[in-house]
Amino acid sequence: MSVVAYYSRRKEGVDGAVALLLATKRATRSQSSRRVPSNEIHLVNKQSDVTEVLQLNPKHPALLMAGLWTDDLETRVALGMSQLNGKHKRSRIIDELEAPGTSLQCLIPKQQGRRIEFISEILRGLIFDAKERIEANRVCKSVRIDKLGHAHLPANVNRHFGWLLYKQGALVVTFDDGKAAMGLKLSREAQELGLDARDFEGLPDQWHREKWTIIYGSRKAPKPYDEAGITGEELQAVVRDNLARFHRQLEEEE
Amino acid sequence: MLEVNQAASLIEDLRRQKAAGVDVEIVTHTAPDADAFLSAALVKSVLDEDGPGAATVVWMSSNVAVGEEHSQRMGVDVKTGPRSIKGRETSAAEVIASAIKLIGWELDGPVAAIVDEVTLIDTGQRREAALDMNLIICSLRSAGWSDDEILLHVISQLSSHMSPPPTEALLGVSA
Repeated sequence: MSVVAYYSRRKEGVDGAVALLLATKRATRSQSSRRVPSNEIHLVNKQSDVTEVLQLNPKHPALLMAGLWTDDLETRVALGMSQLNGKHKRSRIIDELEAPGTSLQCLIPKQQGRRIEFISEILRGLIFDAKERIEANRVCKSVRIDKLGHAHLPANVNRHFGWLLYKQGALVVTFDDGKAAMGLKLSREAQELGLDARDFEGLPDQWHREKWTIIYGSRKAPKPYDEAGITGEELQAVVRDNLARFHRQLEEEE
Repeated sequence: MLEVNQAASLIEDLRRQKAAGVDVEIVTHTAPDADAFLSAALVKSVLDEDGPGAATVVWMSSNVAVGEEHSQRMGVDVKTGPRSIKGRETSAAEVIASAIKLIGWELDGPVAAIVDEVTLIDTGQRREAALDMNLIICSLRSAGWSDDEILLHVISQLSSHMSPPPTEALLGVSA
């Protein structure tokens, strides 16, 4: 199927709206046209010759309007228009794609066709990541956080989503993806309480330690998973021991 | 400043080797982030300004330092070593940008701005943009771009904002 998004060059910020149509596959290619009014985008199905006219509101960014054309949660989360639970929020992503600054300004191509293609690639990636984030949020809701404040991230959830468990009250999140990396991360609240990962006892010396994390292996610095020195289950037990010790110290100080 | 001087002399060394026909390599880490891409792109832009050939970017573990046994290599955003730059107090990109300026190149505002942003990212400080270089890279990767494709794009966009030193200055350096 071939659907062309025809747009007016005169419309400021139209690039983002056209890019979203490409990223979400509502259009397969784009082309500027003098016959299209500046506040419209025409989606023309080349097989059926049916034209769908999409209206842009001159008072709002074109990309915001394009985001409002869809009810798809992944797209809305990707654009920063919705939280993971579907609640609306103001989007900085849309503002920045409308008026690129710093990195985006430097990395975005000058020529309009290439610029639209580049923005659509960014949007495609943001939508892909939003899908992963929504799924991680769903999976993490069923994770149990113990009374010490420890929670273990499911193996199929990327360790960067540990914050989803902090939001549910976890102080320390452990992770073990079963193939490349295992370790732990401290929430901001845990650090403010005085917990310091460098004080953790019982973990192998060769693991990388920072104040807020202890980790073995990563995509940046891959290591043989089998040589971690302990198992994922042992890691969780060690963390629980350290947390129990920390809570006892806190009680003694009080 | 020590790292800046080290970086400047490594870049000059690779320039001389490349001019003599040696295949030079820039090493940075696998799963590259904004700092790795930007610092590698800056060095490659400078080295590729003069012929013949082009410098190759090699993706390795961030735990590996580049030593004197690899005299045709320079490491950026990998473990500090005789021939590798980490940017311990700042970002590797900041060190590399300063080194490039030290050898006479001019970097326009947009390059300076992107280097500043990457330094904020690398040092865990608040950035103005939500869609910063790290998020742009993650998005492109999720959209299916390879690391080489991202690097080439960064280089192509930076090139119009980087000016080599006048020829006389280069002759002075060579002498």
